[in-house]
Amino acid sequence: MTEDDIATVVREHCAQILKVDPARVTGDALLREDLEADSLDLAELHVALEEKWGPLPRETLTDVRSVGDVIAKARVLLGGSV
Amino acid sequence: MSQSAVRVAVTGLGVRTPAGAHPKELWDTLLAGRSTARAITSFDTEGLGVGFACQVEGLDVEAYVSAKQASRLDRMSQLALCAATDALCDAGALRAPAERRGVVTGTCFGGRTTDEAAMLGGRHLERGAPGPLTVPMAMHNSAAAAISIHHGLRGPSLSVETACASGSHAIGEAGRMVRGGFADVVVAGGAEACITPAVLLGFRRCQVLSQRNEAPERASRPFDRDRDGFVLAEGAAFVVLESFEHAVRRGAHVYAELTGYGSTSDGHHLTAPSPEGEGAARCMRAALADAGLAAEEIVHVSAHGTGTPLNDLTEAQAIDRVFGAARVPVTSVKGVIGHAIAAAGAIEAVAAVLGLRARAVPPTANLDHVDPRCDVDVVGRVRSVPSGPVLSNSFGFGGHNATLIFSPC
Repeated sequence: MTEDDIATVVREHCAQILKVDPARVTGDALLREDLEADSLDLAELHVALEEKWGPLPRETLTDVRSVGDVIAKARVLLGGSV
Repeated sequence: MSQSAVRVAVTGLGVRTPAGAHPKELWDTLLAGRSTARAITSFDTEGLGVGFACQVEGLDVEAYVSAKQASRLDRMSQLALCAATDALCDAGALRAPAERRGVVTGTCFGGRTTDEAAMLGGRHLERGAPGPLTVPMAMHNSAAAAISIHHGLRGPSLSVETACASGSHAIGEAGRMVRGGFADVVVAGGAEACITPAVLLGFRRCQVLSQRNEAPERASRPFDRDRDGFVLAEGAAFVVLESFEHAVRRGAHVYAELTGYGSTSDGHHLTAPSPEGEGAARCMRAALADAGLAAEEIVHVSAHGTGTPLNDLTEAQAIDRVFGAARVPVTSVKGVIGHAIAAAGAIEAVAAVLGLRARAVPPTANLDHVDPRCDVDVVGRVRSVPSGPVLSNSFGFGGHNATLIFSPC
């Protein structure tokens, strides 16, 4: 999976879970402030990413602020397979 | 409830039923006396033994909440939120502070669609595939929570569960909250969305469902000689209850007064009613005593009347024990709308209030030949009655009985 593929997966899941226009899901978009995500949304995102990539550490999304932060986390965690 | 210093006014009504999404639409359909049972098309019913139900078409939840908010509500809570919101809008602007406003809901199956999707899905048969939203959407208090959150009700909010009597118990308990001074305004009712393959099969195997698959519209036939069980339904109904003082102070339109509430248990059997309806009769008497009314003063009884052979016979015996020579007119709207389980009592409470206002008794649909063993005056055609109190019964599996009495004011 390329870095672009990772970003695409994250963006698609964000748009689907947060029920927002995919065009708003830019790397700079703030999950809570811009896209109105809450703790349940992040829990859903965590499960969705695990469904795709297998188990992730519990704290994976605890300190992410933007969509770009999620993509960066995923890149690090999937480093071995990219 | 006139025994207390605080009288309880009904000032708002809201419904989502197979017979309509507005009280007037519901009332007109009830008066027409035509069943709303139809073949189920939302899932494959092959092999379930029953292929029809009374369903709510075109639920308009996204007119009330955003798509994302709606996606966090099971269909049961969506039905509840729509009906409760309508009831609150109907009641108009409230004056009581948020801390004096409450909600009581009744449900039997909770967020059943969510539950089944989670439990029956996934790769592991023994785990299902629950997501982060499964628990908060399936929990049985989810409708009370949704209504409290959406409307900022910060007084008591809770859910009661007494199977098919839940909706009536919710309204009765809410009335006690108002009467007891624990809240000034309570929106109360019931909601159910349990038309799923597993619930349908479970009820069928319990031998309580009509299996008249060749003629669904003739299947729900309370008190009829040829009845063979109830027709599963879904829906929600809510009423706004408030103290008369609060209602008068804000110039509210008052539909009726909740004057009586009875709550008893058979203490007898998991599903069968107590012999000759002893628990049901005691419940009706308790409600009459609560209202300070004599049996002769009731102008009509909205029966639980499910259309199962045993319920209708036993309820008729109970009504006869309480009313005897008074020969009160009895009707069951389940002939038209089926049995919406926990929502049934709440829908029937709304129907009772509408009947009281119209001074009319809606007909029991499909009443071709009254069961000669049911020695009560079952209404088969619309009947005019004098202005007066209406009594509504609900009985649940487990022997839970609830009776509400609404009076003109």
